[in-house]
Amino acid sequence: MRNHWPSETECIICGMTRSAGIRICGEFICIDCEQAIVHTEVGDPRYSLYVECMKRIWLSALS
Amino acid sequence: MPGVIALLAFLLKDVSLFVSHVKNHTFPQPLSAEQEAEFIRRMENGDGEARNLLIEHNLRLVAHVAKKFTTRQEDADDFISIGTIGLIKAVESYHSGKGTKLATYAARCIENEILMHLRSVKRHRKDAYLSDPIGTDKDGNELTIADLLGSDPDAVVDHVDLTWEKQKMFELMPTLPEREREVLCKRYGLPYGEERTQREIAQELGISRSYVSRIEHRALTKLHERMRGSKTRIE
Repeated sequence: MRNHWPSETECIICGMTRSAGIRICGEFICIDCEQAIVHTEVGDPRYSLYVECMKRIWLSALS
Repeated sequence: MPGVIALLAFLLKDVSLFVSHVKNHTFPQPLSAEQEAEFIRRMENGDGEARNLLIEHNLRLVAHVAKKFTTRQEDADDFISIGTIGLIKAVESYHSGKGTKLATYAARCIENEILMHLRSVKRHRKDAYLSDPIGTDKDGNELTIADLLGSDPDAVVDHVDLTWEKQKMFELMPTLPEREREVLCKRYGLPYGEERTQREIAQELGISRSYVSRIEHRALTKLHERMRGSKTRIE
């Protein structure tokens, strides 16, 4: 039941269409990317990608 | 008004515009203590929607914490995004049984995430690249570090070694007797003078050339031994 969404949505991080994940202000992060974010340290090369993608959440919150 | 902010944010791609409007009522309000407790209970029972709502309703906290760290406009966007990552991590790892309120725990996680980022940036700013510009030449052309390091790396090391040895030699010169020091200085043009032959020194000091040679040899041997000794002590 946790993190289950009835319809599949495109993940703002990986671009894959998934159903399981978190949805913040209408923007979807799939469970795999969410786990990757949670376990990624700031010095990791992938971190800057996550930082950029997070901006979509805030832009979405404004619209 | 929120529409104008949204349009500006989209046009300028400037998320930080939101920070100054975070009190706007269109953005999720903080949850009451009862609502928060209920959503936490539901989240801990596996309700994903409750989890999403806990994140959304704490986004104001992200803006609040990020604002504390913001000194430059370009940093604001990143701090808000980094704070959002901190918030996701906070909600992911939060356990109500530990007695800390979610907001308190989340604020600490958000702040920690931004601090970790700042430390990381500080560390990387110490890095220098050969292509980094360091100024311009007299014709206005850009000079890079690589332009100044045009020599063979070994030559640079040799030059540094020579300078180091020279410095040590000058430090040890006063330990020699005056006559030996005088002969060495004249013979090798120290510190910046003209080199002289043993014969010229002999004439000037009124002694034989062979005596100058012996003085020179004795002085060099002493210097050599003392320099080796000081090197051994340093190593």
